[in-house]
Formats: sequence, C-alpha cells, structure tokens
Amino acid sequence: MTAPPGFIRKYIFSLDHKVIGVQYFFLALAAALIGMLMSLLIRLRLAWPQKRWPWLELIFPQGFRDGLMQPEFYLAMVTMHGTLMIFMVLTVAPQSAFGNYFLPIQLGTREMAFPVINLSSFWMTFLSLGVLIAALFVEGGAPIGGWTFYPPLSAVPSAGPGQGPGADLWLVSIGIFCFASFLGSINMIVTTLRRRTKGMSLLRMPLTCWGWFTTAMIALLSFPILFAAALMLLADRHLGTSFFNPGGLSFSGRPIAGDGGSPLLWQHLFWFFGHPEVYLAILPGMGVVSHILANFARKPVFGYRAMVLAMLAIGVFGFLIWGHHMFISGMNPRIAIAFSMLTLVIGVPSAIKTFNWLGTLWGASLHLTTPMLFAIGFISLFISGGLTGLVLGQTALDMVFHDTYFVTGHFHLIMGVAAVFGIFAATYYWFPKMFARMMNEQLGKLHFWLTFIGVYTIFVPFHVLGIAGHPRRYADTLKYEYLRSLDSLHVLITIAAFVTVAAQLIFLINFFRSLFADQRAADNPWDGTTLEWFTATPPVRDNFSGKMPVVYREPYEYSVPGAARDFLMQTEP
Amino acid sequence: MPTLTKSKTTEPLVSDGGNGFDGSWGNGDGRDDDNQRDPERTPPESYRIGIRLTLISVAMLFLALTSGYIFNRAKNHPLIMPPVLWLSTALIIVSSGTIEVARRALRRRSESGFKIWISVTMALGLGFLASQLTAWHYLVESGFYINKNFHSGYAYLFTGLHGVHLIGGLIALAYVTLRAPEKWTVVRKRVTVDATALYWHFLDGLWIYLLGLLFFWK
Repeated sequence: MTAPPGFIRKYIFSLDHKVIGVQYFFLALAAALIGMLMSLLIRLRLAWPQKRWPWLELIFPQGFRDGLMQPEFYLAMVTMHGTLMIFMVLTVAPQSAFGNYFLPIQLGTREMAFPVINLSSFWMTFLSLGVLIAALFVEGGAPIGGWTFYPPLSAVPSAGPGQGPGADLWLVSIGIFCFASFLGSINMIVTTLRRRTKGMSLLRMPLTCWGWFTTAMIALLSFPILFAAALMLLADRHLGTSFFNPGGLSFSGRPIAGDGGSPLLWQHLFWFFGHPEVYLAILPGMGVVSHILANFARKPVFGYRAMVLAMLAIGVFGFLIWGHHMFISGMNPRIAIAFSMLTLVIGVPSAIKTFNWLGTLWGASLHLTTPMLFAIGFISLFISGGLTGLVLGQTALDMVFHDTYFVTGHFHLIMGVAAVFGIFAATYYWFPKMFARMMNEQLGKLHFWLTFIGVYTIFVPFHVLGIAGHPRRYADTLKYEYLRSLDSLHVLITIAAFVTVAAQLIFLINFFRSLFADQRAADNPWDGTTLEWFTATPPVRDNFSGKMPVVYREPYEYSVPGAARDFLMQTEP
Repeated sequence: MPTLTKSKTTEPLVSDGGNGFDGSWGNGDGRDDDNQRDPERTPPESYRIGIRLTLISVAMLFLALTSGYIFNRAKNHPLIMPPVLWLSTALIIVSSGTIEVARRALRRRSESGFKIWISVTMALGLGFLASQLTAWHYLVESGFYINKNFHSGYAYLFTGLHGVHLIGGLIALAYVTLRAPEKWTVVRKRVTVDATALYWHFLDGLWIYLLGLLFFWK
C-alpha cells in the first residue's frame, strides 16, 4: 500500500484531472475578476473623460495625473482587459477547466491520457498569468497596443509607456501560454480517441466531449502560429530584425531602425491564429448548452449528428476566414470576396446549431433551473452576436464598421457574454457534482436576470455607437464634435456596466457560500443521463471506484416512450 | 492495490509491421481503454497518437515562419551557406539511421545493442548542434548577423528553433536510455522509443526542408 498523498501532492501538484480542472477554474475566475475591474476603469474614462478621480490616483499614481486618467493608462487597461479575458478566461475556463474535469468522466475512464503533461500545462498557464500581471508593475506599465498588438507600435520599445518591458512581458506570457495550450490540446485529443470505455463510441459521446475535442484540434493548429509571430516580434524588438517594421519610421523626430518589413505580416499571422481562437472560445460553450438543454427540456438534442458535423465544420471553416479582420488593409477585392463569402458560410453550421437548439426546446416540458436559464440566454446572445457578425462579414459594410464600436459590440455579445453564459451554465450545472453541494437557486435566478438584462443594456448601445461612427480605443471621444451627442449613451453603458458587475457579486457569494453549505447534493440532482451523473459526488480518485462503466445508450435518452422514468442513463442496458 | 507485474518473459512479442501502430483509433469496444489499476499510467497507444499530433503542431510552427519567409521575400536577399552545414546534414541523416538501428535493436530485445546505438545517435545529435553553432559563428564572422537582412534573420530563427526542438529530442533520448529498466514495462519503453524515433526522423526531414528553403530555393 502506498502512503496517502500529502497536501502538496493532493491539491497543489496533483495529477488528478479533477483537481487540475478546479485549479484552472479558479485561475480563470481570478483573471475574470481582474479583467472586470479593468473594464470598469475603461468605462469610467469613456463616460466621464475629464473627471478627476483622486482616490484612483492613490492606487495608480502614474496612470492618473492630478486624478485625471491618462490616455496611456486607458489604453493599457483596454489591452490587458482584452488579453486577460480572451486568453485567461475564455480559452481556459470552458476548455481547460471543465474539459479537464469532465472529459474523462463523461468518457467513462479514470484519468486523462497524459496526467503529467496535464499538470505541467496548468502550472505553465499559471506562470503565464503571473508574467502577464507582472507587466502591470514594471516601468512604464502594461502595453497599450490592444490585445492585437499590431506593429509598428508593438515593434518599437521606445514608442510609448508600456511598450518597453511591459510589452516584452506580454509577449513572453503569450509564448508560455501557447506552449501550455499545445500540451493541453494533445491531452484532450488523445484522451478522446483512446480513453473511451466499453460501448462509448464516438457518436455516443455527449456533445460536450465533441466540443472539447474540436476545440483541442483548433488549438493544436492555431497556437503555433501565434507563437511564431510572438517570436518574430521579440526579434524585431530586441535583435534588430524588421520582419514587421517598414522602413522610414520615426518616433518623436527620432528615426527608428528597420527596413522593408510588413506590419501586414503580423496581421496575417495574428489573425490566422486569432480567428480560430474565437471559435475555441465558443465551441465548448456550445457543447455545454446542448448538453444542458437536453437535460432540462427532458428531450434528446435535436439532430445530434448534425450538431457534431456543424461543430467540425465550424472548426474547419474557422481557419479560412481570418482575412475578415483585415478588410480595410487594402487587400485585393477578389480575396476580400473570398473571405467575405466564407465568413458568411460559417453562419450556416452556426444556424444549424441554433435551430437545433430551438428544436430541442420545441414541445418540451422545460425545467427552468438556473443552468437552463443561462443555456437559453446563451442562445439569445449567440443569435444577437452572430447576426452582427454576418453584418461585419460583408466587406462593404465592414469598410464603415471596422474599428468602430459596432465590432466591439459584436464580439462582446458573442464572447464577452454568450461564451461567459456558457461558463456560468456549466458552473451552475456541474457545481453539485464538483463540490457536492447545490448552489442556491433563487440567487442563481437573480444573478441570471440581472446579468441578462444588464449585458443587453451595455452592449446593444455599442452597436448604436458604432453606426454613429464611434471609433474603438479612443481615450477621449467627446472632444470630437460629431460624437459629443453620444455621451449620454456612454453614461448609460457605464452605469449598466457597474450594475452588471455588481450583480456578479451575487454569483460569487452564492458560489462560495454553497461551497460550505451543510446539505450535500445527490449523485444525480438533475436526473441526467450521461456518465458524470453515474459517479460518486464528488467523484473518487479514479472516478468509478474501479468498476469501469459499460455504455449501452446514446447520450440523451430523455423521455423515451415506454421507459419507466423520463430518462435512461447511458449505463442502463 | 495490486501492482502491475512487469515480468519480461510474459510480455508478448508484438508483430505489427514496424512501429507497432495497429491503426486503431478506438471504437469503444473496450480494447483500447486503460483498464489498468494505477490511474497515473498511460497505455502505449496514446503515445503514438500523441507524438503524431505533436509533429503536426511543430509543422504548423515552421509553416508560420515559412509563410513569413515568403511574405517578406526573404530569398531575394543575399546569404551565404556555411560549408559546415553539409557536415550538419550528414550528421543528422546518419543519426536518423542510427536511431532506427537502435529502435529495431530494442524491438529484437537487444538491450545492449539499443544502448550502443542510442548513444551513437545522441553523440551525432550533439555533433549536429555543435556544427550548427559553428555555422552561426561562420555567418556572424561573414557579417550575416540576424538583422543583416531578411534572409539571414529567418535563417537564424529557423535553425534556432530547429535546434531547440533537437535539444528536446536529445533530452527524450537521454530519458529513454537512462531510465532504469525495472521502472517501466518493455512495451511502454518500446513505444516511447518508437515515438522518440519518429520525432527524430521528423527533425531530420525538417532540416532537409530548411536547408532547401534557406539555401537552395532561389
């Protein structure tokens, strides 16, 4: 008999995929809280650009001169908010947190394929977050070029505060993150292919597993591109190369070395990664939504096979449309037509999924629990955000909307809210299994409604601003005549943002209080059919107490005619 | 908890056409699942798929740099080829041969043969790295710094990244050679060596590609 593991081995450097999943979850939660605070600072500046904040100057003496938020500080917040949310929240929580926790369980196996790689992957992600946060504390502070980090600004260390050591730390952080993601993706793919229990064929996997699988394949292929780009940018910054630096630049009268490079090359490399990245952020959420809808509609997912094919199609087509981020770069109009048409084509599998979700809900007896509300909310936000994506995918329209708030509204609805709703849905749904307690249903519903109304109040006006021509990433727009009439919208958005962020406190209180509640949850509180509801609560170290389950059924056998109960678990013959 | 017995005499000899991959992606018949006792062990088939996925990812990395090379029109700028790179090429090609000999020796249960040929491979690998550094030195001496022009810039990036991946391969080789035989089963060791050998062959092929891209594509 081996000795029981000590605290460090059990909770810190654990090889247990469940512990690692929870670690990723809390990493994403921490990053989300920091990112949300940054978004509030952004909103303060946009609503009241000339207002002085003496108490903020105490915290950020260089960001606020005489209490006035400096434009560079504003841009640093914009950059770090985007980076934290996209990388540390949306790439981590849906895939690495819930995927690591539940993929092995839903497949009926005891562990991920490569537990040591899993461990390394988490701690590398942790290191990456640490390095990223460090950028806030070095001389000059965090970088100011947006999460897209376009050169030449990002290629010249002297180009501004934050573009020195801060930008280097950003690039190093991203490089580490790329490597960690690569390791994680290998683990997910191999686990899905090789670690399914008896009877679990690929087409009997829950849609959550298909979501994680597709996402892992996307990550495998896209993150190396970002890594290459980051490496080349570091070389431009410190080794005198000029991959991205055209010649003839000067900064404040001082000429900058560099000759013949192309900022467009960065855009191509970045967006070749960047577009698949956003599908990486949404696909696990889509899988979770399908899963939860079936559970609480007590109906199988409408068109399971179509859902699988649609996810794979989104994964494939996602690699072909990066140019739609670059429509105004002066590209050949024929290439633009190709990118535009392919962008619109991606609307087809997305629509298939949306209609299938609606088909799952149609005629069902809905149990509107909190996870179900968030799942239905996801559909609403996905439709809203997706439709504006189709608008932006048309080159002629994008000529007007690029770099306006229309784009910001689009991606916030779809990433900043829909994908986040996917995370919330997953949290409320799986909390009983992970932590053996139920979350409070009333607080959950309150959280949902406040957030749902709040995010629409915040982000629909973004589209209005965009149509009015309001540019992105401007620290002070009210000095421009044509935008001055929009300041009341900015105030509305900011107030809504503060209220919505405050509403997240309800979630946090609910979450942490429920962790320590007295009443334990049942093994299968939602009467689910898939294998995670077959385990103990929380699952034991090897998930199934030595008896590997045998799977006889499809994943969503709810309301089967003639059955004794309204659901049949996958393990029932 | 019962422990897995690691008896060498009862391990079946796998006749599988070369590198052991039986082509199965798993179909849920339970044959492909880990039904081992210890949750922290990995079944061998996973390594085979894992290494192929790794190679795909590494290929994407070099593809990204290649696209930059083309976009920046790097080949139009001058660059000399350090003659020592012919030695590099010979070393890495021979090392691919020796790792293959080592792999097959292990498959034939010749532990000593395996150890000898793996050590030769590692020595050749180290020789390759040394010749790479010599090549860099030659380039610097001839004035082709990393920032001289695009061609030299990409040359350093490409060969540097390739070298870093090779160092990773050397670490894998050392691990496979030095890990005590009683710490892992024969099958697991064999599959690990298979995976490392595949990785090594990939780096060899990648080197030939880089040589051609950097110095022969005009």
